[in-house]
Amino acid sequence: MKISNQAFGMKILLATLLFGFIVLSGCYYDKEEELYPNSGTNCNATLTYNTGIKTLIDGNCASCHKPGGNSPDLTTYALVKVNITMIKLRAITLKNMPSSGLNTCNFTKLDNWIKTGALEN
Amino acid sequence: MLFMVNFAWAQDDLLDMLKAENTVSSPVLATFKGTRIITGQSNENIAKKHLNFLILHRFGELKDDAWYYSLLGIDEATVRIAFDYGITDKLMVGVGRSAKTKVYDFSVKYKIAQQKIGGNKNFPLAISYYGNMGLNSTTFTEPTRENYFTSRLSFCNQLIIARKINPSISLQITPTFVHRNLVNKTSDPNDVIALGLGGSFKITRSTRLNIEYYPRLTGRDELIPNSTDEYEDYLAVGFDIETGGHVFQLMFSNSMYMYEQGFVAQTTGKWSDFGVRLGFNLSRTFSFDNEHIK
Repeated sequence: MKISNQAFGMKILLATLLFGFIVLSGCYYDKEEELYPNSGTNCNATLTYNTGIKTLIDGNCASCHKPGGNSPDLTTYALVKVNITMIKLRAITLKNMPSSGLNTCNFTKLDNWIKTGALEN
Repeated sequence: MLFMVNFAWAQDDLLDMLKAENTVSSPVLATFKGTRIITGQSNENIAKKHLNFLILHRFGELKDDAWYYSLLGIDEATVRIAFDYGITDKLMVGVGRSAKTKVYDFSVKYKIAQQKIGGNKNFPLAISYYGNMGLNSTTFTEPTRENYFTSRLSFCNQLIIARKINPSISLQITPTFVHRNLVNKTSDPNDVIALGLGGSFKITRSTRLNIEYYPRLTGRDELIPNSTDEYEDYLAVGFDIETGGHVFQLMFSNSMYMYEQGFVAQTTGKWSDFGVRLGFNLSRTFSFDNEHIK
């Protein structure tokens, strides 16, 4: 009887350890912004060039504004920064570029980014 | 001859037992009245083969006109229903579900050491481990994108160190590690470390005053989504009222959450702003221990 109790105790100990491992591990370090850079859930988030604006510009501007394409070239942070006044004028104020328009979420993101100083990181 | 030897041995055993009785340490029981001081865990477990049924409520914040317009915040009440079961006297498992956030939580609490007084095996502290896994069961906000099951999970690990200083005062320190698999912003920390502090003070024979504070050591600058405000540290003040088989806990707390991942890392109410909620815990224990019912 005592032995079976001990065996039961061992089983419980093992189950505890197993559960402990599940609780202690299983660690992902995901950030919604990075996982879904073009997603609409965080339109008001303040982004930097590297945390989402690059993806936005690549998807909406740099498909044409690239080396060998239309001027200006917007494929790097330095080039975007040089042209930031023009980008603001066309995309935010006049809203005539990109020609298909920015969706509300991307518009807000870009606007916030420029307002907060168009930071790289 | 054989009998003689046996008899002599038995005599030695009895003498040993007598000796042991003089130096035996007695466990310190009832450091806290319930398995939780207020919302956070205490070192207490449910006894073996006992099931504890818990209903926890937190009302809306009392600030502005809410204290009368929504009658102490009852209009915005949220509830967590939970079951805790003692597999042994040292090991307890639990499952709960919070309304509104739709989070299921699965927990385990294990008594590593028991506070003992007297004798030569006394020990000044009660030490427990508490682990909890939260499962967010809301439908994904954007079903078209690739969603991961792991994004639903969050974890909490606690080392519970408690001491009953005298029958009137019990104190607890609770180093807490909270991990969330998915957070909103790049600047948001997935891990939050907090140092929980708790205390329970006897007022009358059946009532106690409890205080619980979980200052965060890391991740203090995380912002509330779509807001410029930072999250607050969880602070609650409550009363235990013992009535027969129930423990009724009444409290003021600045968090709507009733599981660690929420109230440690995502508390929004400001005490200075009267962003405080009324709440109560009700618990009832059922016994499945047939051996001891006689």
